[in-house]
Amino acid sequence: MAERPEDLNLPNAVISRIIKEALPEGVNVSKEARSAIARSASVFVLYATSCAKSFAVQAKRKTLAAGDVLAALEEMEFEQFVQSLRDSLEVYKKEIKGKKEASEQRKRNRVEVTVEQQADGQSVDAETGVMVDEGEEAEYGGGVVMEMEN
Amino acid sequence: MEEVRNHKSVLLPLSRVKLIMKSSPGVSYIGLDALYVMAKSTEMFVQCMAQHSLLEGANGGDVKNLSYGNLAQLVQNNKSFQFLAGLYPHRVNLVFGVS
Repeated sequence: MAERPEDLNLPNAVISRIIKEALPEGVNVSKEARSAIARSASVFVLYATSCAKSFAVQAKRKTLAAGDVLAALEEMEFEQFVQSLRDSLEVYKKEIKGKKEASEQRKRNRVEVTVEQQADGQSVDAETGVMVDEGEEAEYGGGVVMEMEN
Repeated sequence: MEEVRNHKSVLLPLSRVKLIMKSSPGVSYIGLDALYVMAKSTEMFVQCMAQHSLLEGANGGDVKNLSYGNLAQLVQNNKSFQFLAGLYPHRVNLVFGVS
């Protein structure tokens, strides 16, 4: 929940950048106009959220879904955004899926490496990745574990 | 260039967009996809508003400046932007005359 009214503002730098990229070069945007657009964007989010919420309520769902937001935009007569948004959403989903799979793959690889090395009679220090020969470790004895810090 | 921009991730901070969404009464859970679509559409809204309001000024012959007046005119003339009417109060020119 927003505690201060400023919490509802969108960052000015980002808004300015979006405006600049949307307009032809050399157009001068007054400071007043820029902050008016930023405020309008916040109101847009609030309005679209409340429209989307009513779609979710109709469908007896508690969680707002992407479909609710798209339906809200159609109702607000911004249907020209919808197709492009669907496309970017697909790309975004793939990106997230790709990242997840990559991190799972990394985890799997790490486990395999450890297992292989243990099979060779060696263990890997989890922190430093330094291989320790188990024979040598036994010489220290007494359960003393040497910690290497780098 | 436009194509590349459209498929890049969002510029607006998702955490801030989420905060604004949550301040709307009765909204408790927001799906990640819904948050992404909202942030992206807000970006498109800002682009759209800037471009359309510049055109409003173009009718008056000024294509190099975007002022508050352009925006107020856009909100007044364009149905899609009507929900912003409360943010753009009418400016009344005071005319002092002798009657």
